[in-house]
Amino acid sequence: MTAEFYQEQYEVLHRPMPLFGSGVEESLEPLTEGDFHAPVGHRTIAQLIGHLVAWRRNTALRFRDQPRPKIELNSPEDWPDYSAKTKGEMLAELAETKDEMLTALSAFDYRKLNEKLHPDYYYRYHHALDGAIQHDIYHLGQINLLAAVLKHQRTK
Amino acid sequence: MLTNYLATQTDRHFRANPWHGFGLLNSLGKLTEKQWHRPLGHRTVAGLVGHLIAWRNFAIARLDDREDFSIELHSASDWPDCSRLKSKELLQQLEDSQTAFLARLEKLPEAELHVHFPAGYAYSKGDLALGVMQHDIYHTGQINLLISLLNDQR
Repeated sequence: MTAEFYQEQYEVLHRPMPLFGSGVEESLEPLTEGDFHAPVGHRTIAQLIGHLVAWRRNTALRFRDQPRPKIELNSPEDWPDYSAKTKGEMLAELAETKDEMLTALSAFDYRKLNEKLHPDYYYRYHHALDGAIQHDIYHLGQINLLAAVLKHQRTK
Repeated sequence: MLTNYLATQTDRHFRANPWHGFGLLNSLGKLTEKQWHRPLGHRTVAGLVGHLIAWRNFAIARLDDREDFSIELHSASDWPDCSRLKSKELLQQLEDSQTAFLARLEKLPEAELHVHFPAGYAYSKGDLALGVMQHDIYHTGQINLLISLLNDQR
């Protein structure tokens, strides 16, 4: 796999009508400010965006071989508090971290694809490259589920 | 090489637990019959699984150069009515579509990944196969969140 292959996946994610569903801006731009913070059970769209942005920033540092903070699962670093963020700020962060990922994917040394990330764990760099984009797709699906549930609640 | 990559990724998300959360079979295996059909908004787990099966069958047909299977967005072909299907039947259809999709990928020569079928369509067979794998991931995220939100309501 090449830089172009992974970079194209991020372009597709942000483009309208990807084959898997709806793209990032296509999904978020029609939503109201209130939709981002309206809880459905224990989740809000803003929380999911905060989670995506946190992991994109951390992963971009990893691929560029830069020092990065460790993110503990289910910690505030994993799920940052985005309750005070505006829609404009969140869309800007998603655009900015897309660019960070594109730069990091370009800087990554693809000869390391089969190297382990850590000697104690089985996973290798190719798992991290695939996992990063798949993580975004997985949570984008969840964002669209919440948006659909909120719309359904309004039309009832 | 790309077909092997697609087949490995598709099966990992189906059977194993990928990085981003639980794999599809793992998540579905924990559900009671009632949870399959309990709605949140207009969505049910059964409905999402029916949608996945429909698109896998569409991809299998297109990779086979067949035009006898099409899907109209937002229609019953896109979102089949699964309200009367038991979880066992849906799981069997899902397994069958997995087996057929992987078998089709195995037969697909690398050179054919760049072929657009039907000719003139925006996406190639490779794009379609990757798209189906990512479609599974997108809706697995929804299925896992739906299960978690339904559990909140208990």
